[in-house]
Amino acid sequence: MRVPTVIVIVGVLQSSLAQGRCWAKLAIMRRQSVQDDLLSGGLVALKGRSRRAFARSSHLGKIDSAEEQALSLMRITMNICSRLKLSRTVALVPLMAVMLAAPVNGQQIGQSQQIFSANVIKPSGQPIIPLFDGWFPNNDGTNSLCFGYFNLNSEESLDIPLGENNHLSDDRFDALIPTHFEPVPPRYRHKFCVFTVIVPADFGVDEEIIWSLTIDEQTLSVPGRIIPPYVMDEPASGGRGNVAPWVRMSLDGPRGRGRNGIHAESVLSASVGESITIPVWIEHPEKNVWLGWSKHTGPGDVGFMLPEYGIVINNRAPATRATAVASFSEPGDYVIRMQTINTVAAFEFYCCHTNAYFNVSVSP
Amino acid sequence: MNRLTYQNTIIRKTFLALVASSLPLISATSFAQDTLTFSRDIAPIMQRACQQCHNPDGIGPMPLMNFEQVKPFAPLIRDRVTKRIMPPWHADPDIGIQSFKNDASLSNEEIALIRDWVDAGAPEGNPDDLPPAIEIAGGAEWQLGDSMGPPDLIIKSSPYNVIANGQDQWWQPNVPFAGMEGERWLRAAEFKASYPLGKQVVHHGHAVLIPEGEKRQVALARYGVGKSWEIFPEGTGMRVPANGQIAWNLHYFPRGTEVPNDVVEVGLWFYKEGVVPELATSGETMFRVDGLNGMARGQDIVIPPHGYQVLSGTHVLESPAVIHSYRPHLHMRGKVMSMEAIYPDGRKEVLSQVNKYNHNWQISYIFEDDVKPLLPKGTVLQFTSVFDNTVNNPLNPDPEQWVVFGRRGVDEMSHAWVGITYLNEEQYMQASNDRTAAQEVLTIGR
Repeated sequence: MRVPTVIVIVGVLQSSLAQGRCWAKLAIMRRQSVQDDLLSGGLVALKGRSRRAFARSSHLGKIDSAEEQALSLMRITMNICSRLKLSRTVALVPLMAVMLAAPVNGQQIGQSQQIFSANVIKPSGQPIIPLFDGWFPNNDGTNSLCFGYFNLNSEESLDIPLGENNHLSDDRFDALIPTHFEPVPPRYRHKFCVFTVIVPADFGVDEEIIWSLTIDEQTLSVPGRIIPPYVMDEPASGGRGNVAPWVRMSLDGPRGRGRNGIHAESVLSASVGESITIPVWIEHPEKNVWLGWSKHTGPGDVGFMLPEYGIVINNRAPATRATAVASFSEPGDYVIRMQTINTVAAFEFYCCHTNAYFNVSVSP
Repeated sequence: MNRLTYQNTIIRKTFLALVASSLPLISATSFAQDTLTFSRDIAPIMQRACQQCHNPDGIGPMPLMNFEQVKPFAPLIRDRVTKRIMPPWHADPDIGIQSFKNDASLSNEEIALIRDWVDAGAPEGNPDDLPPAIEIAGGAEWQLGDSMGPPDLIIKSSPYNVIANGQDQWWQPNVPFAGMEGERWLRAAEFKASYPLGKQVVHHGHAVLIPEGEKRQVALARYGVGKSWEIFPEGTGMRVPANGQIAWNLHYFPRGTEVPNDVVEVGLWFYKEGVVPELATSGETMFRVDGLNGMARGQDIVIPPHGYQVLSGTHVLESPAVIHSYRPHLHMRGKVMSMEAIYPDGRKEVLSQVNKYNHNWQISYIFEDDVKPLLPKGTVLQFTSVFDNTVNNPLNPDPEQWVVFGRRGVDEMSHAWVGITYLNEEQYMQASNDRTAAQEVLTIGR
């Protein structure tokens, strides 16, 4: 049987934060599709009351025409914007979010009449998306779940303490969850695999560990699962020839590589307002290697003289030394994360980088 | 019984007898004409639309070359064709240009025939009604071989061992380009994965010539499952210098079987030596939908769990152009991509819309010559993509994930490969006049 032609209404929800306005733009495009594809859409990323309100109002049968649906959608999105002060809501994130179906014999409306947002990234006021980057098997039979994040702000960093606003769904596993979230990097897309959760060999494909981040009462979550499509090469990729750099925290210390990371056994000391140098030794078969330094956890701000840079590997030496110069704004215990990979572009191929975590105790 | 009654009775009985005696004949005739059979009605459709892939050497999972092979799958075939899942053709049948050189879709009438034939029990009919078997190039042969002859030059990637299971693999070797004594003009190219295993694991790939001493890149061949060759229109060609390096970019999907030493070949067919075609083309050119306006590529892709995202990207044509083909590229959450022209005078036209995108197929929609978009300078090409991260997307590996940009199939990206040839104003005017004249001839002919 021929699938009926339907009108799809694409609701485009945007927010104008600078002017404190919130508005919805709607567009209609004609598609031939299956209603089922569309009806389960909706503002799925919205939580709680707003989502239910939308679901109630958009239920087919209550609203007869595409035009009425469009108007209803606009009212709802306006209401949502008003209630949630959208600066922190995920409703800002996707360009779009809403698709409704109306079984009418509609005319084609040119797609150029639609209005789409291209401004996913904004300077501030937006959420952080927790990401599941994938998983990889370890030599001992365990598996590692890799989590990263995408801060949708180009200028605003956020700190979210561990606890109800930043946690894993299963506290059986020890994981070095970050509490500091840097703005989106200018040259690549997100912070890749900033920590892993190692799960036992009998962790099933139907099990999951959920990482949740809550900002201004809006919670965004992502599940980590051992499912085949998300398997990652580690610590090397045959095709592109990429291999994670070896890292040592002292010239004669043990070396390690990969996303599970190497963790400092010692604690560096620093004072507020004074710079310290954090050394690291890198080995890699390629000539050039990239390094990036970040605050992972800690009470205050951390400034780096060079947060990221490339180094030239000295193949005549056992390892090539690199350093970070860091300063701290408040006393307390910090973890500094260093990521290294042969090129930044290799991140998007998901292989292979090394995480290294340094402990720093900062006195007043 | 009076005489009249008797006569009427005789007449009635005679009539009934005649009717009764003729019934089997009528019935047999009716059956022969109305009952759909494989031999007479379905086999021609299978030949045209199915057997290029569903043959013993093809990429289809089972051969459908004869009744014995088709019969067990009749219900499945009915399901797939009525849902327009097969043959793979994802362009919207009601939006945009509908005349393609490589249209693999079934007409509504053909779908109805298959449906009714299966519903009638999928009878074979008389084998004498079968059309002559068609010739199909073997899996290891050049698909263009029949029409173009053997390639003038074959280039090969360096071998790669494809793992049985694991993450997507990218193999990007540089191989010296050799075999030509001087510059030539390319007429056609075909990308051939190794047979049989390579065809199962090469998802898409590019063979790009980096000419010696030149800054430009010459994309000799671009491949995706469902798009293996390209023939430039007569009078159009790609200038190929004699020396340089071939930068191979091969994307492998491990499929459970190790493929050792896989080598991909590209066959090149040139215009005759000394022939310079009227129009120089760059072949398929990438038009990005994501990551425009100065941002890092893909920073605008954020698809929520169980949600959708719409992206739109625009490109202004700095010179007139003619578009030969359109090939959207998305990943597993990709669902729709349209290509729209906004002309300098403000008119808008949806040129093509793929509304059932399937990541497992990278079909190039090749426009017929008389409808190829002919676009003046200043035309805006607007591409719009829709991602579907819901459970209703059958390719979605996990609708509870946030999806962002990346090279893997589980990540997303959005761009279109457009077969485009840029023209100067004189060439554009000439092409416009030719198009107008052809349409006038067509009108007069009616």
